[in-house]
Amino acid sequence: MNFISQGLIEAVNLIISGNSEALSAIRNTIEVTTVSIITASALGLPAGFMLGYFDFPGKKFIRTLFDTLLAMPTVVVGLIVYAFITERGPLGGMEMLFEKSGIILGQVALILPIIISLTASAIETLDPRLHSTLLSLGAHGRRIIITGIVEARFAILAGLVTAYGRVLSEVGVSMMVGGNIKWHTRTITTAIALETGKGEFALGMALGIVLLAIGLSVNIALLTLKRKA
Amino acid sequence: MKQNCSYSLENIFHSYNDFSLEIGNLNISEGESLGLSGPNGAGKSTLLRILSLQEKPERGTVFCRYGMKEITLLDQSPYLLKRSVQKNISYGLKIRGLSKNIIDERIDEALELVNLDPSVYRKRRHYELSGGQTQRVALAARLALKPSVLLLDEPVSNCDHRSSLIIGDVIRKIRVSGTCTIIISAHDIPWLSGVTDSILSMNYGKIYPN
Repeated sequence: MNFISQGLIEAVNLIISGNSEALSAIRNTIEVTTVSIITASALGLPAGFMLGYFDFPGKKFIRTLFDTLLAMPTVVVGLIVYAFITERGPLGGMEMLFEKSGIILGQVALILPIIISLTASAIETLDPRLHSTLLSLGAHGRRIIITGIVEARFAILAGLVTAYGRVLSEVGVSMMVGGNIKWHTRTITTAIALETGKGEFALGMALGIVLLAIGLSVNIALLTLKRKA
Repeated sequence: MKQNCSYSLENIFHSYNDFSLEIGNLNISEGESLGLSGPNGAGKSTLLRILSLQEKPERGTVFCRYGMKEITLLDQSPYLLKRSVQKNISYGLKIRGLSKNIIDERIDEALELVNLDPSVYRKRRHYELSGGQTQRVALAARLALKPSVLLLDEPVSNCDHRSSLIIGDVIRKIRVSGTCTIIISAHDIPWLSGVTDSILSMNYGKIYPN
């Protein structure tokens, strides 16, 4: 118990003193997770809408596929993305391995099924009268998609929070694709894994506190948005 | 298509499950106010959806003088978007690219027409309205569009007596202007006869002479 409380005190001291190694990992984490969630949302929200709103042949199969991908282990995603962006892989020429862009690609692949699947579920629960109402008011095409997403915004926001939580807490993709390179691709989670392994318990705990604080801030921001909406 | 007709329907056939709608020929004049009466399942709502151009019949031809943006349908139990009353009314107006000033004017005008005070109701959220108020706001959102064809599917079936009277008054005002073709389905024949020029009876998907 003493060990934990002492680690906690040292962790708070490290945060207050602005440890540069920790700050670099924090900066990297915020950067890659922000780009990942924005990219995955831009792709996943319209795709999820289509999947939830329209009926087409093979829809059930695609739904089942995305639902299965929800439970995809991060190391498996990391492995697949690694295979694609390694020098001998099809995207090898893009030099994304051990770069932040590689981590972003992996994280987008990780959370895209979450956003698509949860958006589709949110859209499926929309009131069936919505479509006729929108047509009656003169809406068509893209406007119907946007209004549908806005109408399901609370459920979709919950899905985005879930996706952000997943991307914030993953280790597998960042470790395998990013390589955990100090000052370059080291993120909070890979740093925690490394520092704790090295016996630097206080630094690991400090980074853990920051990780929780980021997660909490995102949740508070979204709750505030929800209240205002 | 006949001159001065909003609609000309020819040999319409449409079916789903064990129901089928069959209409030989039907002409609806411009500016006419037409009532559709009949029991549940008679085909009134299906006919209105076809007239709104939201649904195409399996067979037959629907000639309509207007495009979809000039036709608006109010469902039996209308849906309000999860936003304020003014945003519900402005939604269709924004689609039509109207300026902010005109949108503001139209919101006030439409709310006053359905007897809701704009200063009180503009900012109200969709969940702060009673059933009758919801119906009137949904009607206001359609009226604000100044449609050429107004289709109302049982507009007073979920309303209290006061809201029924208000909606009746609104329809009479629009009818007098003669600029809008109005087609209304309702069970209440005395109410329907008070707001329409003529009534068609429907049963088992067919129109019968009244």
